Amino acid sequence: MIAFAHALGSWLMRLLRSQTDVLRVILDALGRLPGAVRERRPPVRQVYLKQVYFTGLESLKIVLPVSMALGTIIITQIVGLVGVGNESLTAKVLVWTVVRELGPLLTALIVIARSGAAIATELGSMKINREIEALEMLGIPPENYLILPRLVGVTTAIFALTVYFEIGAVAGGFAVASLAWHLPFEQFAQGIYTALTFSALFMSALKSVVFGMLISAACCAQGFSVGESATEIPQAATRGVMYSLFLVVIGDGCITGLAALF
Amino acid sequence: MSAPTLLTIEGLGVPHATVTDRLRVAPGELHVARLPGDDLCAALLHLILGLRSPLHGEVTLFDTPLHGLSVRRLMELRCRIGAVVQRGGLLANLKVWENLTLASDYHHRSAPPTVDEGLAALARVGYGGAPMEPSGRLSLAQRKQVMVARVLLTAPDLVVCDSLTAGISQSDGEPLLAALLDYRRSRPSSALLFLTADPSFAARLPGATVCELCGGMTDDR
Repeated sequence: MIAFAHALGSWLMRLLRSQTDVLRVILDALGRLPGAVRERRPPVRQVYLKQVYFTGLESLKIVLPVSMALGTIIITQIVGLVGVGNESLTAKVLVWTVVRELGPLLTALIVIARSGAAIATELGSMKINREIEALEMLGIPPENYLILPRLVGVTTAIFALTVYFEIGAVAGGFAVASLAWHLPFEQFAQGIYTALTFSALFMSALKSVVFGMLISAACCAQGFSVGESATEIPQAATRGVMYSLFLVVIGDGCITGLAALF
Repeated sequence: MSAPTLLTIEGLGVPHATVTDRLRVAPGELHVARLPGDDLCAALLHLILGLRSPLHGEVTLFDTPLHGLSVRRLMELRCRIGAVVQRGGLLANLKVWENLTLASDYHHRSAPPTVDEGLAALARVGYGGAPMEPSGRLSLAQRKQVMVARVLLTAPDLVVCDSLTAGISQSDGEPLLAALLDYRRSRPSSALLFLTADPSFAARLPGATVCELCGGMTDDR
């Protein structure tokens, strides 16, 4: 019993320490952001654009089919629950589930699976091969060149992907509703517009931005934590993915809970 | 008023190694510092650049002691140093051209190097590969060529080379030495410091001030 308590306590302390690392990375990057925007260094901009391309544009071919499939699933379940002829409620539930919750969350999960491990692996490899040291020798802070553009790039990509996800889900939902239950577009659109409030859009945007920062910071922190052995690289990649998943789900719960309070 | 110095080191100690002698590099000088081993050369370069803190002793760069210096100020000093290292030195996910111009583009030094200037620097050091070759595919000699070409483009005040010709053929090493010596002649305020464990290296640089930095690996594990 004591050994179990000790093991649990040690695990919790490691988890807490890793989360404070993530918070430190985020705060440090946000502190550097105004200077980076003002200085407009071309190499930093290139890293940012590459990150947006790899995380955002290349994920689009996964996000769109998943979102359309999800839209069809949700609409089918909703119609089964409330019946045909209740278009406003159908649209409202679709918007509430997709825009407020599933859009940001599933987009974040796709990005974690696709880019999270890649970021941690890349930075871990750079650490092993002394490339981070090479940057410091050139007088280039690794935080400015490696972490900040990745953090902003992943956040930008997730924000954009979330928008596409929600559009795809609504479009997929309408396609099924129109084909299966002959739902008129005007009534469906009216229901969507009615349900699409500023608070729903704000929640979606807030969650996508927070998830983007958490995912990139967790994976960057793990990549930088690699020591001198190449075997630490896959371990860091795995930890980056797991911590990202944990933070995204906890973050989602916190934001949703706070929104419910206010 | 004493003449300005670019670098002064004295009595440095790091875990498992010591460099016990004094070295002073002033503008316009050419130095060869001989050390007992390659590991000490790499350790000394790290100390000079402030990547490691010594257990004892002091490194002074551009009349500024490194001890207690802020990260920002340290980065500013490193911008004035061109380093050529034994291992690493380039980013594998960048092309040769991107590695070549990374420091110049990042630090916004006057006008960015033109394509002709970059290609001329690569030609001077004997680089025969493609400018858009991924850096991860370069040989050791090519990596050193790109690092030296980068030094020529960034025009630092102090150039420090760690075992410049180690592991490469003489036909690859000679253009590197010639390019760096030409650089020093064209920029009289700059200085060159070669760290080497090769006893015959100094003979290739007539006119260089040679110093033996005695030291060694200590058994203080």
